[in-house]
Amino acid sequence: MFNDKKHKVLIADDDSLVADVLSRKLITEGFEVVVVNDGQQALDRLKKEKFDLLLIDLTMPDVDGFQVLSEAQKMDLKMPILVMSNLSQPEDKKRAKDLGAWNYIVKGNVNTKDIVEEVRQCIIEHKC
Amino acid sequence: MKLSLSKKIILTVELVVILVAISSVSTALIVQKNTLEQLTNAQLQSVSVLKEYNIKRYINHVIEEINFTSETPRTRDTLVQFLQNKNKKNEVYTILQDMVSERDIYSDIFIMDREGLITASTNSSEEGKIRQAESFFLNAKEESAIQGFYYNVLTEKPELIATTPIKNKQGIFMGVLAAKIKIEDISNIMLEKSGLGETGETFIVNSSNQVVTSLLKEPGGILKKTVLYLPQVEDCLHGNSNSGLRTDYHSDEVYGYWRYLPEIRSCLVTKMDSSEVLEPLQKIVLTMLIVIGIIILLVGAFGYLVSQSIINPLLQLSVFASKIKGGDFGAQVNINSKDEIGDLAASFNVMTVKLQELYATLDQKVKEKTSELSNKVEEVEKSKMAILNLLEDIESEKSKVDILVKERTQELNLEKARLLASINSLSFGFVVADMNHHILLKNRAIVELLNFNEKDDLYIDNISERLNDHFDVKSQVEICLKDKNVCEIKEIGFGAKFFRGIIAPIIMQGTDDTIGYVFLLEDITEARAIDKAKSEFVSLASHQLRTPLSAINWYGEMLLEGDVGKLTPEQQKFMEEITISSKRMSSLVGTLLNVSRMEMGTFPVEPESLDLCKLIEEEVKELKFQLANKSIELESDCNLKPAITSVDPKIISIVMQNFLTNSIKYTPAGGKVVVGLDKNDDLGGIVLSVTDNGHGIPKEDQDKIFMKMYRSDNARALDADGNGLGLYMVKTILEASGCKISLESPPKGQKEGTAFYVHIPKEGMKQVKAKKRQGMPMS
Repeated sequence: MFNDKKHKVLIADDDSLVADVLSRKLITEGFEVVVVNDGQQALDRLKKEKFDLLLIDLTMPDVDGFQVLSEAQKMDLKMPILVMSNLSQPEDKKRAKDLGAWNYIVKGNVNTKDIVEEVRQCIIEHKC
Repeated sequence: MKLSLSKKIILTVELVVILVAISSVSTALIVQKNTLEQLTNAQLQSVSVLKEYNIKRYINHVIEEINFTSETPRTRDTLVQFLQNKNKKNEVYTILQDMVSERDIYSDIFIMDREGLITASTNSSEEGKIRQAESFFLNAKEESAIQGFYYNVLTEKPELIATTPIKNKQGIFMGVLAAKIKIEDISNIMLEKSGLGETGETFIVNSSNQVVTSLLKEPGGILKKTVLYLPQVEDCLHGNSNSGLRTDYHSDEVYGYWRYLPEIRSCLVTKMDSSEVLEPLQKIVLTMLIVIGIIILLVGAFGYLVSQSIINPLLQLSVFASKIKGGDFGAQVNINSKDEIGDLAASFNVMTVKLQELYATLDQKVKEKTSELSNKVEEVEKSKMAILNLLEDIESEKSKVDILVKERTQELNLEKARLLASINSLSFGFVVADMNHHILLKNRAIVELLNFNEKDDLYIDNISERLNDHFDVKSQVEICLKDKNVCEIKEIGFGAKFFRGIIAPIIMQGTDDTIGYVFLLEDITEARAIDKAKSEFVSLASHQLRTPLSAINWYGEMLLEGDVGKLTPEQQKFMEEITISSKRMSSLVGTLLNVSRMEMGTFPVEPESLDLCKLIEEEVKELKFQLANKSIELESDCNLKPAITSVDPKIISIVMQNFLTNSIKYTPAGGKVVVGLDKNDDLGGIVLSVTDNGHGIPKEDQDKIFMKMYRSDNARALDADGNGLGLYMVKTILEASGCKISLESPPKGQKEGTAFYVHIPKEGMKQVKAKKRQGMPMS
């Protein structure tokens, strides 16, 4: 089910602590992780490299998560995007899913294990 | 006007005499006038006949004269020879001249031959003219004739022409002898008055309506230009003789007779002025007036004498009657006349004697009756005194009552003034209305809140109108008063403002009847804005808290998992404490976020058709570990399988989590929690219940338990970390979704513990769309 190849995850979150803890956890769990702190950096990296998954926050300065989703959709990356936000309103979830998000995680409601599980599940379903 | 009897009698008699005189004089005058008219008419006709006779006689005479001339053998032979051979002309002239000079009736004589050519004339200028077409030539072929009057254009005088045929011995027509006859003779006939008075006259009008004889009222004799087109003349010239009262050529009223003279085709007018005809009438009128005057005087004098003979005895009777009226029943009247008045006087004398006798007995009777009457009056007086005394008592009582009423009224007025002052000083609008929605009392604030003018009359309809479609007071009142409850209308939009409305019934003590209502209107715009700002702040703060909390949680998890190396047992314990506190804070942030969303209206209710039994079982499963930790038994009692209804699963989750964690918190170890689902028999729908046998909620706290941040004393003692938001949030969410929440502590059939009930209506939860969010925080 999960091959030996290290899956490459791009984490985009303006909160450096959140980004740090998630990247550490994912590395512990055997992923290769790249961290950026805003949407523009995320788009720049996506243009240069190939990732197996994008784990992205929605509320970021300048280019926010919704814009990244929208741009990524245009780029046709064939890469799943997992949204992880503290916005828990249904309309935000709907908007993100409409823009191609694979799933939507509300930060306050989950622990790190859940996130790792979601990431893994997402990559498997996309057969990366 | 007051008139004495004698004057009345005289005036009456005079009036009668005058009326009789006027009527008889009028009748006499009419008769006299008719007679005069008839006489005049007869006279005019006879004069007319006489004049006609004279004219005819004159004309016959003229014709005879000319005949005689033409038929004298020697003259005839000379004329025939002249007409045959045109010789003997001198002799002919001699004959003609002799005729003119011998007979003073011709002005001209001339001879026409068989063709009408004038061959000889005493007026030589006529000779050589042809008169073939003239009637005087044509008519004269057979026999002597006279032609009608005409005007000679040369002489401008009226003339008559007499003609006679000239025949030879064999009787063959040779020509005509014609003579112009002087009109003066006929004029003279006309001028004879023949008894027609001053204004009477006769004249002739020829067939061309020309007057050919002299006119009395036109000086200068015959006037050639006088042409009459009067109706009576026209009628006469058409052969209809007529008579009567007409207007003449001088516009005077005349009696006349218009007689047609066929021989000369003319009208003979005989007439006389009506003023002259009727002159005798004036004399008669004068005479009659004098006679009537004398009669009136005589009648007046006679009337006076007669009235005196009647009135004197009447005056005596009047004096006598005055005496009787004054009580002098011994008086007698002395009238000895042998007539009706005399009889009346005698009767009066007898009557006075009788009255004298009657009066004597009457006096005694009156005295008796007067005495009886005085007794009665005395009795009435006594009764009157008694009634007056009673009235006095009543009056004194009444004044006491009046004073009392006055005092009470003053007190009431004072009370009312105080009340009015207090309601006017209220910051919220205040209206008291009766059941017909007539406003009985209002304060200044309601006028100001709804932007009315102070002078405006205020009606409930006006208020509804001001509040526009947001709020109809009348229909709301009807809903509220039906249950006799106090209603609160949380939010009424009014332009940029928001009001809170309260409707409270006014219930009559004793009868329990609703007699009106109080309507309060509070401006909550500011309070609402503060509340909203606070909610927004809480929301913002919570969002900002979530991110660092997540980081703390996740680092903690990693440490506890040993992801960064194994911890010592003490480090492990500390780390667990940190993680638990952090998670509690996360949960608090979640609750705060939900509360603030609900308050801002950004919390949506999204019902879907689900099996409530399953939902509840899932929720229970999540808390099984906690229940087991505290050795609390859990019984899930779903009596409705499946319980399909329309609910929002996230709300059910929030509700169940709160109920169950509360039950776990406040139920001692070994206790029991029962989750139930039942039909609501009274209202339909489903009742969800969570019952425990724990510490329960003190009675005095039960109505406050759903208030925000409220914690009962025993709850504080049992769990110091509670935030007092859970039940507030549950109640607010449930009510927003159309459900109701209630509690029972202790529950029916238990000594202790608490039961919470959620009443889901049979149509399920009500969908609520979230309001658009503004200014959400950045993480």
